[in-house]
Amino acid sequence: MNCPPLILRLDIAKTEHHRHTVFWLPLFLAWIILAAIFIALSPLIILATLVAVPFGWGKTVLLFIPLVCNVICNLHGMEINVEQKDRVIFISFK
Amino acid sequence: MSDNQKRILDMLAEGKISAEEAQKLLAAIGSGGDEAKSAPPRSPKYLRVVIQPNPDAPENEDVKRVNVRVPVALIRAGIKFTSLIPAEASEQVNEALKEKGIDFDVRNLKPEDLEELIAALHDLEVDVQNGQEKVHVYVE
Repeated sequence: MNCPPLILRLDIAKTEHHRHTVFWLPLFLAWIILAAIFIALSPLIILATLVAVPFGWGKTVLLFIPLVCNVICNLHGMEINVEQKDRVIFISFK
Repeated sequence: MSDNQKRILDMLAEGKISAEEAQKLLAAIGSGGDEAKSAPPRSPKYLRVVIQPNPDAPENEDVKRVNVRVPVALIRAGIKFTSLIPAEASEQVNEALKEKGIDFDVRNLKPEDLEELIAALHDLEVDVQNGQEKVHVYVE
């Protein structure tokens, strides 16, 4: 499994005012908080899985979190750049 | 034995080339073939979607330029989500796809097909032009 993106770079440039703002958002803090929440809620998740099994949703509940983690870990390298007449927005997962 | 090797041996038998020359030619063919075999196919890493204003269209300031780079690994991870779709929901998804003109059964999407699909992405290049915008999708 890849390492999840640790930093989110967000560039907002307004060409009209020659203003260029760059945000470096520490995603690793979010992952630490989410991991803590996950550990705290894990008994409830196990309970929800057991309740969902008779309805055929047990596998879905059980595999949902690992698959979400897999998606988050593979966000590394994703870039989005949107330019409009007076504004440029650039998002990059690093 | 390949055709080239046979041809070299024929030329040697006919006396057109010396034994030394034949050896050199055979070695050259051998090393070339080994290189071709040993070179692993480069797997695509990113899917790039570029939306630009159509150069043939009249200038419109509202048209956006979009450039998105999506890691192929993310697509792979996203497709794995299909395994979570319950059977009843799969039928609804299939019906919704059919309404959009896509005759595809999401239950048939298997991990082994996925690898083949990703390998085939290497040859993918899509160019779409409409009135205002030009969309280019390719892998890199």
